[in-house]
Amino acid sequence: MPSPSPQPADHIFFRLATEWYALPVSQMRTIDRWQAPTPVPGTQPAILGIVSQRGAIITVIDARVLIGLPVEPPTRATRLLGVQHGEVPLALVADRVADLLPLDPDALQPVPGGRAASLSAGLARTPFGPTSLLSLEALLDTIRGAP
Amino acid sequence: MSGGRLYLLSVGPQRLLADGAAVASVRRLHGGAAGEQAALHTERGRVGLYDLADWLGAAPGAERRVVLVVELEDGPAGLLADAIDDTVQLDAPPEPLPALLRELGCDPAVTAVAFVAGIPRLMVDLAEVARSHRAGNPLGGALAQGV
Repeated sequence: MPSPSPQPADHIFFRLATEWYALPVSQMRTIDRWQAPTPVPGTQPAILGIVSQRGAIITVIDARVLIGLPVEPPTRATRLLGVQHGEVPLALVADRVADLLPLDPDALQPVPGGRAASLSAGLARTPFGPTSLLSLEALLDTIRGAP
Repeated sequence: MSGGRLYLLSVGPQRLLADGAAVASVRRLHGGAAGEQAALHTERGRVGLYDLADWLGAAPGAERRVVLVVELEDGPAGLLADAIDDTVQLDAPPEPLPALLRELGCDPAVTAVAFVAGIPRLMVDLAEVARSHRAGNPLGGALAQGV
């Protein structure tokens, strides 16, 4: 009997403050070193401004603010994750980007309450510990509903 | 863009682009703590000063020695910056703000983005900035000095 084929390493793992998150690589566009965004007056706190990624002007969102996580100043490990949801490109701040690993959607469990739960499609046990699968759709819904 | 002279303004750590067609005159302040001034006396009388650092939410710079006078419907207003560069060259024509940012909203004085030396800079409507500032955010402090 053939052994089951290994799951593809199709999720990128990254850290926000002390918590681990994952995104499908199908939603990833770029991973760039931190560059300070150009701030735009009159935007909500989770919008850090705009940056240029591969010549395109992208809105930078700090999911830590939306989730209620502590926001530390950028370090050498800080990255900007260029992601795409439908037609909407955006960049997310990550305190650290780790690796590409498999994440079995069938193994996801509900995330305990809190603001993180509203942005997560589920929680998985991974080599990094409990890891939330970030939902870009929920993130955009949240930021669209923010004051 | 109306085809007027283009200004790159230094405001604390930030840089802003502005169409010089909206600027009636540029005054350079000499001596004294320019940032503490509340008004500028010109041949047209007293002109209230408004700090662009305040509008940007940026830390004010150390210089703040340039006043851009714009004509509003109810008279002139002065906008305070650290320095001005009127020899700036854009890498390419200005672009609209990212669609997500337009959807989520920002200050209406921000009209576009343009690249200068590879860095995205906001293009601002100085008259709109002065108008919104005049609506309720004048600087306090002493009268102009050393003009």
